[in-house]
Amino acid sequence: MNFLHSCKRAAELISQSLDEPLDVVDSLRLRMHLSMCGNCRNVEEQFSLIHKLGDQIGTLDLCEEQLEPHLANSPLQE
Amino acid sequence: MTHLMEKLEQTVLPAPPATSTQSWQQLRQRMLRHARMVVFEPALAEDLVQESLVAVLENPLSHRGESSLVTWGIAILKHKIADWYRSPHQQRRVWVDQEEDTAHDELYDEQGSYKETVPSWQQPERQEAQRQMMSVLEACLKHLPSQTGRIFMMREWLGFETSEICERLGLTADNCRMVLHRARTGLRQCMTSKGHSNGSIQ
Repeated sequence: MNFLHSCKRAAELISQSLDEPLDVVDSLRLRMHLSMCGNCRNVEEQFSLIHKLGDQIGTLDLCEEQLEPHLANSPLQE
Repeated sequence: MTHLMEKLEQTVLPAPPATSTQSWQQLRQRMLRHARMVVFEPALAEDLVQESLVAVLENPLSHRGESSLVTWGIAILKHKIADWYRSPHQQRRVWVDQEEDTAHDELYDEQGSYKETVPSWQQPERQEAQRQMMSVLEACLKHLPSQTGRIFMMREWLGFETSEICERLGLTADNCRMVLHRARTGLRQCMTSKGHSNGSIQ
């Protein structure tokens, strides 16, 4: 079912897309693969979460100031 | 070191009580822990941390309270480390690849599809969940091969572009992509298994 790219190649491209723009063909093929493949969508979500956290290593655990305002005021907050 | 701590104590006396000696010690420990992930030579990591602490001291009004002291300290440290990588004598460090190119191949079948379902992670929206996820990430970083971890930290923590990492470390673009992909896959795998064991990732 996963024609165009294998999941293995898709993971490489997802990683690459966090660092540099993909060329048009790769980007299109990756998007098509993702639209069909739940596993790779989860990988994409996990890679981008790791990417987002990376910048905050050493400071995230500190305080409310690190949070975006809408999160700090979220009703979920206890 | 002792001398520096004395200097710190003297200088910070007029500062708000939040900036206690203990805070400085904790800040120093925190900075060292992170510096060592990107700078392997222990003495150099120590030097960069000390320079950063002095820089924080020289501008004591730029922070208020303990948490922003740390944020400020870490930001300065990141700059110091980045500057060190960019200094001319650091160019063309020799890259030694210690890992097989086939790392993580066990995740895929012959067609390159996942053998096992990739679980979905819970998005860490609450602060506590973010903290937990960060501590899992930091623990998992220690399990990466050191060179792989360093390139990940240069890219994600220091914010270097991949082209610059390649240039500084004498890697090809393909090498660089491969190492970053390996790092992310290793972290993803490790965080998934650790998350399952402590329930923070579902």
